[in-house]
Amino acid sequence: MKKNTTTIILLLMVLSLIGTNDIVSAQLKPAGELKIILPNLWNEALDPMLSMAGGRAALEAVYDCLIGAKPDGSGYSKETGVATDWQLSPDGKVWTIYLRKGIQFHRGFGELTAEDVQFSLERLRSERSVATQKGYLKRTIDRIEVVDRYTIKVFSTGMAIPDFIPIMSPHYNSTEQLIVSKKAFEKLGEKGFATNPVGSGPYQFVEHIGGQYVKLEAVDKHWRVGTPRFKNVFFIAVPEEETSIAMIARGDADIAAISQFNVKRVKEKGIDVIMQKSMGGVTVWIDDQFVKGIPGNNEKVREALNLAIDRQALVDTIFEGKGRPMATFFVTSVALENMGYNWREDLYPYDPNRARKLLEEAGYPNGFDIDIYVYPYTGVREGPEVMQAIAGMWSTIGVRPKLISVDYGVVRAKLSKGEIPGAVGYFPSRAFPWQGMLGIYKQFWESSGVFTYIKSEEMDKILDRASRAIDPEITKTALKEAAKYIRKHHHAIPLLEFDVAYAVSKKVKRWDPGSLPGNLNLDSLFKSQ
Amino acid sequence: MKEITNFRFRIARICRISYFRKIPVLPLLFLTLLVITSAFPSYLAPHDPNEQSLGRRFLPPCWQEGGNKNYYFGTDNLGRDLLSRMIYGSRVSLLVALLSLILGGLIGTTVGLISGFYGGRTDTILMRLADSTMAFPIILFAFLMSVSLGPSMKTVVIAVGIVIWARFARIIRGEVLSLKERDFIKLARVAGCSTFRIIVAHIFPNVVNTLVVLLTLQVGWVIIVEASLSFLGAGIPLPTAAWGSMIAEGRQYIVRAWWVITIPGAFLMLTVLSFNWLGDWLRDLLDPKLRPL
Amino acid sequence: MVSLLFGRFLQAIVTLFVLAVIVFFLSRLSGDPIELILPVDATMADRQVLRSTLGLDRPLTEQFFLFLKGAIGGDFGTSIRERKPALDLVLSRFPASIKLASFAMGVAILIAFPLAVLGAVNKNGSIDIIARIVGVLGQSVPSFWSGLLLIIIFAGHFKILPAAGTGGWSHYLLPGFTLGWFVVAGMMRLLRSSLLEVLDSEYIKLARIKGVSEFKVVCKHALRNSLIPVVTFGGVYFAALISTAVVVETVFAWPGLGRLAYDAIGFRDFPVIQAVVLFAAFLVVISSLLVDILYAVLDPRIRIGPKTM
Repeated sequence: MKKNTTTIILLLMVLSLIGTNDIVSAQLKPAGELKIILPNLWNEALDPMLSMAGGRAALEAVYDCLIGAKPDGSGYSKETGVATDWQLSPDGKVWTIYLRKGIQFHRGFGELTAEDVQFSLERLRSERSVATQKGYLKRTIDRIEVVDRYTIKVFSTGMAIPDFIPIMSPHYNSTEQLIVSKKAFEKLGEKGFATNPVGSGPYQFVEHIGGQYVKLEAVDKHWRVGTPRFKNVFFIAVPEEETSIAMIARGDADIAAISQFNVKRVKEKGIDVIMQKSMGGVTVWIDDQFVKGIPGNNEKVREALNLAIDRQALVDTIFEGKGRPMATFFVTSVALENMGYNWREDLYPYDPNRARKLLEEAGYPNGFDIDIYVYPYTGVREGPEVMQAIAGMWSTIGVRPKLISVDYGVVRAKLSKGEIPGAVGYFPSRAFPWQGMLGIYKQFWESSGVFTYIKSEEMDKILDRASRAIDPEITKTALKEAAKYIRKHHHAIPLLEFDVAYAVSKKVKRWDPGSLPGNLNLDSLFKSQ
Repeated sequence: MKEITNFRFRIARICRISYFRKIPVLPLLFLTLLVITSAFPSYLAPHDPNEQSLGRRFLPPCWQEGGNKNYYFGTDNLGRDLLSRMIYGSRVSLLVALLSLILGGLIGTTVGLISGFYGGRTDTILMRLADSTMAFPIILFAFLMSVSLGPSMKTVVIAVGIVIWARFARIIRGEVLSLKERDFIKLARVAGCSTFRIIVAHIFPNVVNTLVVLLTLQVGWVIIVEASLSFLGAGIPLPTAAWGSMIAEGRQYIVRAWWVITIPGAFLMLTVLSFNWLGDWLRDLLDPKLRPL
Repeated sequence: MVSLLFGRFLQAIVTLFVLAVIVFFLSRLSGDPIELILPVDATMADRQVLRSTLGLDRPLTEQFFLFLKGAIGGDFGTSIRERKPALDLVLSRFPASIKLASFAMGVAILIAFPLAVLGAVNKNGSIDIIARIVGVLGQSVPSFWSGLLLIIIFAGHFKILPAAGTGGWSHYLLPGFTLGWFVVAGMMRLLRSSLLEVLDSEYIKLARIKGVSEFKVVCKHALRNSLIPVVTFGGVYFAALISTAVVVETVFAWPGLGRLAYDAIGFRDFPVIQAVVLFAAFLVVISSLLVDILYAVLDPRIRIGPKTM
């Protein structure tokens, strides 16, 4: 009898050990679904070359970035990108980039090597590309050389190219940094790749239902994330905010951006809300200020327009207090603080009386007409509301605003052709780390830029210094000077920044969206417990 | 020779019909009040419809806690008085509806009259044109127009008018076809009346009934289309108050500030109901043949 | 009858042609897609390259001919936005649209028929009045409002129905109802008045005299004969529903043709705009042709021709 009992006990122990192993390994397998709601899938392109800045979110999971960045926006990371190290030559014209070994592409397309990086970069510069920085890449990069299997060299056309690296990192909200598989293109062709993209990210492409969602499936093991936590990730397009809230409430989705107005109500329903501090913002621009004779050409007028806005009221009412007034062009407080820039100095007081006096002094005692372009812009639901509010504030100092609501495409076309000098519109401010500022500032403040607001020799010199500098500290200082210059001459009307709110399901309780523009730091969700 | 029209005969008949006694009082009253309000908004509205004040944002209607008698229906997201916006908005919405119906009705009636009377190839061509227009998806067409011409009251009127004319044309044409064969028309022709005179003086008056019924029934539809266009971003532009755009914008605040969308929406509903009720009664009264409408 | 059908068929072609002209020129009037695609710092040269790649630098008339030539062969060009064949995009979204439209029609029939019958039988009675109010309500409320309310109540609050997207049959309920309610009024009114006319006719009176039950009179005899105008209305409206469902599709994130067109217009994606509009028109034209055939089958007077009427 005893012998039988012992055998049984032994047997049971062995069985339980096997059982536990199964449980342990089962926990390490990806399970469940993660559903992320976006207002739209932009142009629904899954090829980084054809997608545009707005389409980044869905691609984040499928591809890896060339240069990694820390999610809190404080700097680069040598751990999270394809590159393990990068060096600039002393004359600033050649970058040497060392790649990580052992990164595997999806579906058996082999290892990510220097050839794939070269291929990806060349694609971005090619004719069909609509990548945001295509022009820059074409102008400044002469060629990309494969030195060996894990090393590439990037040669400039003659100028110093320190800003190549920021562009290749998530500090830029665009798609240039994503590396695609050369072999996949060779095998599948352009069309094949477009319908079946191959990247090296933690999730691989499964399905794309046009207008509805993109479905992704976890790879077995990813070099950065390990075994991904969720088996499937969906990016779902839902245009209406109310609909997305109902989906979260019902458990049909896990993450949805919501407006501050709805945060209280959503919390009352028992749904968690995660705030991404200072990730949104509204900056108002004045177009073509160099045109003589228009009110926008007059510095006193611009100052008056700034003084007449009660920014704190905007923050307290439209954004429910979840934000702060800003007065620095386009960049948020977090990024500026990282730079060592005292943005609080820039803030304008709310002084409508002084604004009226300034207008008189400037020669507009009876005010003037101004065109305000109002358009919906993805990521700033409150945009049109804010513009209407400041139109109301400006009418109290005698300015006669005319609201023009067209869609953004029309406005952009007019801007590029210089058809609307002195008109006013808005941009969402971005949480660019300072490394991302240069490109933006060059677009809008350099005399030769297509969308430039001013033609100033002094500003051109400052920006030139910023682009040429090989030492990043010099670039940083020059950018700070540029921001101060804009503020000193009231060349823009930055309004405020706000916290972006996300309604989340229970699955996503401990998620930190990070502080990088357009990047949801999904890595923190993809990593298993 | 005296023109023999059915007019006097018709009026006598109308007075006898029992329908006349069942005048829909409520809708008529409501609509009359509405038209008066929209005609004299500055006398009736307590505030400037565009006067903003962020401090007064989202005041609830006066019968709720936190409400203010000065802002009877409460305020919207920019602190503007809802009642005043409703009053001024009624003018805009009704005007848009009226103008587009006039546009569509004019074109449609003219085409219908010509097409029905002349028949033959003219008829075929015009009706094919009408069919093409009707096959075009309405909302998309209006949206496309709005994107091309820029959103404004004018664009909405033109877009809706263009979409509607075909319907008018078809129905009027049907009427004309049947009228054409009637004796009094044949008599007029024999008497030597010019074609123009026949159409204008003889056929048109008998077609007016149908026209009136059609117009009445379409008003509600036009305002709803205006609301849908605003929803898509192609309606009456900000900051002009118009019922359709107020409902479309108000949907963002649908739960916490329900009055911003519900009050214009309720009034819109009542207006459409009234117009439809009125239209039904008019149809039964004037032209029962049109029942299938 | 064959000549009649052939004539209608020819006319359908003409209709589509006219429509092609309208949509071609109208969409080009709407603006320039180049500005929307290119990154901010694109040069003039870049713009020129993209323009010729897309074929937008050729004279308008030439573009139109190319478009027509392609359209006849089924090639509507390549989407400017997604770089895929426009017709493929349209066809991929078509099933979702037609499923929703069918469901909506089903809902409309389920509500409209009983209400119309009850209303006609109890003319001006309380049921009649209620029925008419229910019907008109569907036409007096913008569909995005009713849709949002349904979402908030049934998905957000009671959580029993999904708010958006496709999936199982439960996904059809809210959008289908929202879309269908709009149709109910028209259908109900049509059926009711048609019934009323038929119920007044001689042979119905005869049936009643013969002692046939009221139920049978209405359902078996009257209904069958009053269906003709309803079928006409329903057939054409069904096709129109597919493309006018933009608003409902946006609110419920339904991947149908309406939203495709809306996005295409926003992006100035001419090939897709043209493809959707022509496809939708094609559906309308085909369905009205089919309805005409059905009409002719059901009503012998039409078969013989107008001259004898």
